[in-house]
Amino acid sequence: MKKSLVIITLILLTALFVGYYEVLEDAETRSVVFIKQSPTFQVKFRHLFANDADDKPLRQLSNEERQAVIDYCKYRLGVTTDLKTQDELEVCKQR
Amino acid sequence: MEKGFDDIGYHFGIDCQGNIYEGRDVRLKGSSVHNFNTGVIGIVLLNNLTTAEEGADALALGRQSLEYLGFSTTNTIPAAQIDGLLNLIEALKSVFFIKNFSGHREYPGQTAEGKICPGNIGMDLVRAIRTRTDLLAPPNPRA
Repeated sequence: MKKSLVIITLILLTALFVGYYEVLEDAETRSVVFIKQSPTFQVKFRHLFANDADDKPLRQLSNEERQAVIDYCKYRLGVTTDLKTQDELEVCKQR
Repeated sequence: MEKGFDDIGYHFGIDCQGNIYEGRDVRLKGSSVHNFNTGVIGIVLLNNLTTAEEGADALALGRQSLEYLGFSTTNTIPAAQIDGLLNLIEALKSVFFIKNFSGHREYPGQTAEGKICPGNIGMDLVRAIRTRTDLLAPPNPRA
């Protein structure tokens, strides 16, 4: 019972604090695992700019893509943003 | 496709037997050189053309160790692959006005693997092909 409790706690803590996103470089994908800056049960994140395509400017991002950037920026980089300006987007491009 | 991509970022790929594969439609912008894809036709050689010390990571360390022990981990480029590339370049030159021929890492601001690509062996090939085809190095591209 005690062992199960420890395992469940560890799983919960891992889900809360560990996330990953995929990088596409030179025709290969790889996952980057990271410690979240704040807890959330979201585990998979999208880094829209971790590939060899040209970066889309803010005005061309769909609502879904903006939300992906906001989530990545908050939990990966620890930067909370409403993504209103191109400068804010530039901050969120970091890996 | 299961990764959520519609296609691949290169326009052409060439395997070690010299077979040429069409990737993204050449009328569409590629995704092969970060922030420099406009006006670029992306060609990938399906080969690893790096030398052991490139990358400065665990893989590079492992390769260097094997080389130290006498095992070669560096590929040579098959003649058929070079021929395929030369044929493709000539075919593209006959259709498009092409001035430059560049290795991925010659473009500034590339990240991770892009800083290495196409590897030291690949860059030797790039320089040899420039000489042979009268194409030029990239003219200090900017994003």
